[in-house]
Amino acid sequence: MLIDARKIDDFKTERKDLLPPLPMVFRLVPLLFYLSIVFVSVVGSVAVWHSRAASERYQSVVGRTASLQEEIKQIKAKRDALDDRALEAMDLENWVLGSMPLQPLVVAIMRSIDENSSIVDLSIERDPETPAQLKLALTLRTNSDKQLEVILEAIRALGYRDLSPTQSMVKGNLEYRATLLRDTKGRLPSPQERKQEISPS
Amino acid sequence: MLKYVKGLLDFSAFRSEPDDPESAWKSRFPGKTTVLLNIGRASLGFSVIDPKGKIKFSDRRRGELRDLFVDFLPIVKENASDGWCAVSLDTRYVISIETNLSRKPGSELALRKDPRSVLHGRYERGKVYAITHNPETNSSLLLSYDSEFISKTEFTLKERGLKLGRLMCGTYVLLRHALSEVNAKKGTENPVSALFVAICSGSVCALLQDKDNWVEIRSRPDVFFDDLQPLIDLLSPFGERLPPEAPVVLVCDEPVPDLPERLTAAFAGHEIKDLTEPGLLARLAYQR
Repeated sequence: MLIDARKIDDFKTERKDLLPPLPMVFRLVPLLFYLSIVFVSVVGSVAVWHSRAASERYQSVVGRTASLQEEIKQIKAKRDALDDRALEAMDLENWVLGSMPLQPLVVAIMRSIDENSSIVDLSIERDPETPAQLKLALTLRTNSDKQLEVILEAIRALGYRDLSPTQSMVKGNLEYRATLLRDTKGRLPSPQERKQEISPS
Repeated sequence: MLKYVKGLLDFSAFRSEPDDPESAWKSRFPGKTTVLLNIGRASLGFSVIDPKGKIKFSDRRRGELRDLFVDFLPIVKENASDGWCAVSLDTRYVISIETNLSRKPGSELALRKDPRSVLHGRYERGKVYAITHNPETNSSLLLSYDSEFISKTEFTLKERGLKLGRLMCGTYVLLRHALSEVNAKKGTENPVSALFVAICSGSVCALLQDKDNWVEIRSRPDVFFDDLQPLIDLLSPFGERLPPEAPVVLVCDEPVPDLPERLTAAFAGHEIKDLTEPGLLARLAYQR
């Protein structure tokens, strides 16, 4: 005889709203749901992490850019200052180079001044339109009428001719103006000769 | 709707509902601690069952049920998962031997839905039944309860904040367990004779089987508590009718001190097969 007692008889009042368990294959639904949550969490975390890293990189780049711009500004200011100095140096060089042909003339005028005379004002300008001509303006304080002649002799000795000379007395000083023209027929002195002319004997 | 979504997400929708009596206890409450209540006429016991089906601790006391419920309720509520508990109702039941009951397919289900269609003249109004057929003879064991008493028990538990997961007759469950353990071979070649003694919370059911025939049954709720003499007195008449060398098969929900010795003395010359083990009823309730 075989008695089967695998089941227990239950005497509860019958329940009418009971539902049978869902088939096991439907477990995929919550499993996929949880997997998607995990996936979204992981991807979201990675995205947030990347976003933070990118933000930090951006901030660092912005900071670096600002510091570089500040550095560029300082360098530009230094360069401007340097350019100004270079310009001044070039002006000075140009002046030196430009004044070099006039130096013998100035030296000759200076040397021709005697003890009782003095130069109040001296200007020698080259006309940009006619570079061959020099405009000389000389104001002398002197008691001697010959002083001007001496100066003019010294100028002529250097091969200059004075054109359109004007002479007047202003406040006791002798003011002389003329246009000097280099005698191009004569031989131009070499730089060595000019140097010798300038240097004291 | 929210309940179904929640059930889907916590996977409970793929398990049997806690209230589904057709499913095994362990599949309804996996990984949860539950409580088995043994309700007698004047005694109440409880066993806390851990998630593996083992008894963590238990207690049983005699007295007024109302007072005992007050004493036990905090412990029961603390250990029962969401208040779910199984109940072994070991009082106000009758187990009898009936013959020529219908064994058509579906008759067991019909016994629950419409017992009159199965029991015919033996049907009593206001009763609920369970049945165990003897496969070799035309006899059957019929367990009956007052449906009003069951409703009252359900109401009592609900009133105290407990949910009824299972309502069973422990004595009947143990008797069926003993029958299935001893009658384990199909066919009539090796007929079994034995006296089956099922004891649960002081209630006793003794069934005499003679060569596979169920001959006599004695079933009494609340027979004893500490003193075993009423039990021995109930079983003594079977001594004369028990075939020689037929064993006495004893099965109790919990080991009863001195009982095997007393039975050995009462049934001299007969083997005492003790199927009892600690927490047996709780284990059966958990597994089935």
